[in-house]
Amino acid sequence: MNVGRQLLRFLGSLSSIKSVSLSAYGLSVGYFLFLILGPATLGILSGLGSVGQVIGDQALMSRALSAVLASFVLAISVSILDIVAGLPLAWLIVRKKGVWLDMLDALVDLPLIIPTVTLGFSVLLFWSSGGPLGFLGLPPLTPGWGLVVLLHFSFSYPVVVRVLVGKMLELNLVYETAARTLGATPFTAARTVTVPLLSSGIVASFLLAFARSMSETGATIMVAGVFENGPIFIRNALDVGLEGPLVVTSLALTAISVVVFYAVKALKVNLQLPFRRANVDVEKKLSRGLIPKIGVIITVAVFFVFVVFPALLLSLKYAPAAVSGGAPGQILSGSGIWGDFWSGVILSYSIGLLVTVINLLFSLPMAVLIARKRFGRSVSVVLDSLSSVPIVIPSVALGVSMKFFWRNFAVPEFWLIVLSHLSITYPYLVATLVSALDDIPTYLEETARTLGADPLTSFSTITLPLVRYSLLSGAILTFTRSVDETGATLAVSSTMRTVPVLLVDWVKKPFPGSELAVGVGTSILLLTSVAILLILKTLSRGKRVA
Amino acid sequence: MPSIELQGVTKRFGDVVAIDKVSVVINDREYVCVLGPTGSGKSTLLRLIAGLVIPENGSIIIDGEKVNEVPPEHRNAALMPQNYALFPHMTAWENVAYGPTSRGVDRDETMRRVSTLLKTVRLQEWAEAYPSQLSGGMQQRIALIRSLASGAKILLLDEPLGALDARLRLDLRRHLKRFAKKFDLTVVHVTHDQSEAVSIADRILLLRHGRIEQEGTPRAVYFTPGTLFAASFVGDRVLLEGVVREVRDEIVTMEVEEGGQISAMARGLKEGELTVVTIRCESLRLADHSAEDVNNLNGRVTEIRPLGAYFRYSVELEGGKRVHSHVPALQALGSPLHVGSQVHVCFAAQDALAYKYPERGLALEVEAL
Amino acid sequence: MPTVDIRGVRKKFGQFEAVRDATMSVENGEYVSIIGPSGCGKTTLLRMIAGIIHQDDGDVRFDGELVNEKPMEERGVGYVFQDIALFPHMDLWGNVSYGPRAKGELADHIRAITLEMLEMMKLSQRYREPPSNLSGGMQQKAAVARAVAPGNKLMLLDEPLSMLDAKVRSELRFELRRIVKDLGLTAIHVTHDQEEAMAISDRIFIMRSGSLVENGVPSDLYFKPSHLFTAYFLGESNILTGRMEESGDEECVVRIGHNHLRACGMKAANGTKVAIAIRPELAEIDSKTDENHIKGTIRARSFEGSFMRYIVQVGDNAFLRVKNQADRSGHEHPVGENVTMNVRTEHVRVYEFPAGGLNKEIRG
Repeated sequence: MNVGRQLLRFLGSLSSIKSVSLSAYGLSVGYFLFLILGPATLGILSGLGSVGQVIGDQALMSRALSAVLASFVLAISVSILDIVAGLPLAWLIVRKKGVWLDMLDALVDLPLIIPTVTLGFSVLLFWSSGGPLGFLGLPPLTPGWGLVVLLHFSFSYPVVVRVLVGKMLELNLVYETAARTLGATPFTAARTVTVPLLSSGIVASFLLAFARSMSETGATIMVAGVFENGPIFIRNALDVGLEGPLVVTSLALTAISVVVFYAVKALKVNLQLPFRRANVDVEKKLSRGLIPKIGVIITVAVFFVFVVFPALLLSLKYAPAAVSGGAPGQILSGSGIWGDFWSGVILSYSIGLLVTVINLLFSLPMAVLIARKRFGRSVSVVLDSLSSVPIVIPSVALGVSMKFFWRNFAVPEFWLIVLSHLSITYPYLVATLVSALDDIPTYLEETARTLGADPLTSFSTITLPLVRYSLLSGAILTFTRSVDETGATLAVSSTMRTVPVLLVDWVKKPFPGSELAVGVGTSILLLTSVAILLILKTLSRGKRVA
Repeated sequence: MPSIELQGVTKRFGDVVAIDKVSVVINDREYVCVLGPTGSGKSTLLRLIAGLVIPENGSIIIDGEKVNEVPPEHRNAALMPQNYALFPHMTAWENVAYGPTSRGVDRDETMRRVSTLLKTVRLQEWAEAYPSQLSGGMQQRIALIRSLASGAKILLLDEPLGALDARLRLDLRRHLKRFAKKFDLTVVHVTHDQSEAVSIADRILLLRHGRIEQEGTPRAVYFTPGTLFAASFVGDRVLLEGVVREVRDEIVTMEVEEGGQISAMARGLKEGELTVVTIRCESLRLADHSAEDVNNLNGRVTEIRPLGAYFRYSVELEGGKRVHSHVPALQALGSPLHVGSQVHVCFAAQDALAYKYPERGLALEVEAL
Repeated sequence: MPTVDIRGVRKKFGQFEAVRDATMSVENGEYVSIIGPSGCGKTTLLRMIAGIIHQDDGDVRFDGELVNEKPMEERGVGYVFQDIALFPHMDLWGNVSYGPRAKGELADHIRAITLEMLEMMKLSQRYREPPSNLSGGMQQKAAVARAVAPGNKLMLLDEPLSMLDAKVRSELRFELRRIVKDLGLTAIHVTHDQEEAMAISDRIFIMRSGSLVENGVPSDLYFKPSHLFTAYFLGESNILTGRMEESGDEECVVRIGHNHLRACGMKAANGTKVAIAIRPELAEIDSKTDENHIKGTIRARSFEGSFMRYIVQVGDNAFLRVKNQADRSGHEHPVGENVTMNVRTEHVRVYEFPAGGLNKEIRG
């Protein structure tokens, strides 16, 4: 014990020395540049040689480009739908009170904890003949772009709602109250004051949904049928072994993504329509009475029909089958296909753990750099923008870039997958940590320093305990994201199969009993995710700061 | 040996010069108030001394040693921000023990220090309480002994009374001073409230736009402000504009726009120059007849408001300008003056301080609303 | 111009009674303030008058009309917030014109009233600037302009000056009063700063722990407070323990230590313990009056700008704080000097000794 304390004290005193702390930060920035950002962006450039393959071939070229266009249109439309449908729900959750609203709040998180492959399969089933549509006698939706839209909507909707809820909670209510006291009806106040003030939040959630849609691969493959967007086209190209299409499509996807991201940010979107005078009669009706009530019903209905029910269906359908008859024995013993399944699980979870630990270690100093502006404001801004670059690159393109970059170094497949996952999860972790650090006022640590605590001690005794919850949730998020990851993994792996890759294979290349197998497999994934989340919630409950 | 010394210190944030070539000496065990409006750089000054920001130019010297490169944890100057910055996840005890623990002080010694200090401020029963369970005044006491426990001999207070009710502010003002004197601390106390600074400081540093406008004892700053800004910032004063007619030693005779001539104290003014004269509101006496040897201006009482310890008489001078006289309550209660009374506004030449008329215009210079 | 009538208004947050049975009324054109320590419920009361929160019980009437059910946008009340709350995404013009626009006024009217308001606040030159460009004092003036522009006749001000510098506060408070009076509005101003309340109010309401303790014109409340808490909270008071010697309606005699003082009238049995309040500025050292001599020794003194503060020991454990005007010539009583202080009879206020003890009564 004493040795430990002495060691900490020694490290602490080192942190007082400027050169030491500088090198520590330098190390984390170096990690970011050389392991995360560099390979993700530069790799693709080394594959430029094979582009010729595609440029010459007219048919292939047009196929590639229409795939990219399809990705773009899909992502934009789904994101807009998300905002339109999600804003009212976020409003309800934040502004209204009641037991059923707390339930609603919890339900919003539901799709987030379900691995996307599970969600994909669930959506497939929900809208097929076996689901409610068949029940009502309506024609089922077969795999195709329709299902893809529904799928993307259901997994990006909760993200949008969560971000909007967070931003609305941060927004000081006083502005809306001020508007109301000035004579504005609730509707007028909302549209002229609250929504414009939420602009940055709306933009942020739009971009997040956009990025998610551009990146999503595994579940999309499951439900796409013959529809081809960027990631699907790349996977098809991989199957055939053509490198050219990979490069072209990845570049195009990334280019479109970058343009959208930076254009939206540059426009400094201010969702403020010119407001000359309010039409009081109309806006009064929109504020109170029947119309808003109808709006509430529609909002909630949309949420349930398009998000909650599809997500829930799966566990209900296959859970019984998984525990009946000889199934459990077969599953647990790992016989036949189940052997592959369990090795996939072990692979996924060990990768997940590695990725979480490594990223936590290296992203924390980076987050501190950005949040506390240790090297000045401009450096922080630059680092902040750069660290979000991997989000902008669709994960499958990122995987391709990684593959090209590291093949010069003969990196084993396992580490290739780890590196890709590190790259993909890094921005989210940094963003979570920066946001958590931003909430802790700097004067706490500063006071600690003037009381005699060196930088390391003040950070670990003051800031770290206060961001414990965010750290934990950031770690969990990273872990689940890694386990869930399909796009990049598909790009870089050839022999190893993580669980999502395996499940996608089972769907695309069915065998007798594959539907049941996929159902059971995805259910198991779901159960473990739920278990992890429950553990997180109980751990954090006891640690709420006074 | 002076405790803190700044020599030609400059600190910039981007384009903004927060502290501009400031040189100042703060002696051992002095209680110095840094006074100034928001944005004058007072907090930056504190942070420079604490070591939380590094100056671009100049030296910071603590106890004779140049400390520009020394990190905060080695400077022995404890900072107390406006809201006390008690660590919310630690008990009162743990907060107070934080300093010595971080410095590696022996466990037993730490325990001894903390319990003694808690007893000194009569909060030993609250040792296990969390900051959120303590009142504002209690939080302040814990924050103070926390600084003390760390062994710091310099206390840097950033608007320590700002978060409190007006009533509490008055009550706790004196506790701070007493605390500092009892423990032989050197204190740098930042505030925008001039009545606070005047009542507790040994010396005041008046800061404006990152520069020291004036420094001196409360009496010096209050009775002999060196600039127009200092005159208008400290205490309540009346401002009259006029032109210099005659200069004799330190006394000038000037013609004011209200009509009439008055004598005032001035330095460096020339005949014909535009000036502004400041007179403290409590130095303006209202009489029903004019008096010899003092300045007299005629006017009519327009309003009498009791403000508590004094009454504020608003007088409209011939010419339309409105001035205010502060009359002590006892005197006002017995005064025959009423709204509408014709009065002579009298003040001694020594109470009228004249300054050159500011180039940027009066309103901007005194930062009027 | 509305009158405001509040009867029996109550509000509870969980178990905590924020406002208990508040009853008060404000006349046309009056500028009243509600003062009390933090947490006494004054802001809650104000918000209930505005309709921002709903009372559990009780009635709020404007000009005789019951407004309990009226939503806040229909009450015609201008509200000025402690944190100013100018809309950050609009410039000054947008902010000040917001009310008329939201109410659907005609474009000409909107322009005219906004111009008028901006000119009144001397902010016309800066109408294009975002709020963040302005100093705190100017921002609050703009907020007042914004609150008046919709044509509200009643203004509610929630600690409007507490976020501002001391110097700005002392100037802006008179401005606020002038604006309200010039425009013929009625105002209810909440604050914890008793100096502010004294400076601007026609009448002051004292609030404490959710209840309205007493109200009156500033000078009455200040020089003849009916409650011990008022004596303590409004201005400064020395609060001492003594005994009733000779009770009376007009005058009575009380004993503090060895001093016998003639005090304002109070009915109590001779010998009962009483609380006595004497304001520091009303005790004069070496004055010429013949009333109430108190002898003591100066133990401490401090310079406070326009006055000197002395701490005078008048008994074994009894100290009197005295504030007398400071003199530039330097004539001040040194520490250690034995002095005699005089206090007029009507300035020695006597109260029933509080059952829970002095400390509890005052700290609330």
